[in-house]
Amino acid sequence: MRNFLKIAEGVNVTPLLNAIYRKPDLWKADDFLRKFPQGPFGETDTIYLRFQDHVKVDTDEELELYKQNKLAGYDLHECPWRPEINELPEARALIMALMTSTGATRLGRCMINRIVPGGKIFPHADSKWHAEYWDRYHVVVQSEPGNVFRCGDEQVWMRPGEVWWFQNSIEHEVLNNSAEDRIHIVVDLRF
Amino acid sequence: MLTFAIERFSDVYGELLPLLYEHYAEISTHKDHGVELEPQVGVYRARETDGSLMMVIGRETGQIAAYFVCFIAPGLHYASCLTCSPDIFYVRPDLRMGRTGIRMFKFVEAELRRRGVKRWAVGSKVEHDASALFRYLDFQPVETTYEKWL
Repeated sequence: MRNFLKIAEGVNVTPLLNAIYRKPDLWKADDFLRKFPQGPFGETDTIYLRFQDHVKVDTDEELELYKQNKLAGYDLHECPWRPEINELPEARALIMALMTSTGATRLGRCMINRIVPGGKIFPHADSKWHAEYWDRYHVVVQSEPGNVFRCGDEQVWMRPGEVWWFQNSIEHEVLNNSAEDRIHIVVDLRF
Repeated sequence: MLTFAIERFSDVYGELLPLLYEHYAEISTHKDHGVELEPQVGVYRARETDGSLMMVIGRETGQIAAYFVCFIAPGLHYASCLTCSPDIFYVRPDLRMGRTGIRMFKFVEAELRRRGVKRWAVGSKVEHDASALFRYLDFQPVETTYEKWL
């Protein structure tokens, strides 16, 4: 395989899963991705643990500078922790362990994504500016047989407790054809 | 929604077993001769371990609705020819009138090509003829299997 690489298995994700089940209100705290216009995440719930601040720009020129990471006073890639991380210390432990074990030097977006049974993340490739800077990792918290993660012409079912790198710069999609929610932590790392 | 994936024998066998019994009751000639279904689980596990067993599982809302099981290894007489040999395949009866079989075999073909398989053999039973499917998928008939019970 060229687009997927399993880097670990047997990670104990049950304490985090239990915490997520205990705190269902966290799913509704922010729905930025789900409501992104014509975005691929309409059927995805997200808990944002670490994400870019919303930057208000006044002109198209400023927007373009921001996309090129040249807008004075802003770092396009900087992702501060969100308050939700304080509700889920179990997630922080997993994320920091991933950083340590891979030798990453910078931590980007960290999200917990949930796709309901029958739900999809529609085919898309991540933005060039983002995918070229970051590497994308998935920590599988809950996933039953019937989940299909396609990237290019390859597909895998990522099992609970596994950690995967995948190539998010090319077209990918997810189908949750199981009878249970699919829950992954998504982590961006820079090396 | 029906999706296909490569799954591991050790993960899926317990879930698959009831379907294997249904499959056996539908198509096996062994049952007509008093031979019970008795999969050699240890052999399947060994082939899973050595990488020669491939299982494609089709699921609908998590439930198994189709499967294709085969063995992949160099031909005994042709060491340079990676060969896919048939074991069993099954599609749930209510899904047989659509394109489920075609989709499953196309999924299998893509995976076999990815693995570098050169020759893919399949079997069609006289009482459960799948020839139309195989011809549609560009298989060529090359052999007829006979059996005699002793």
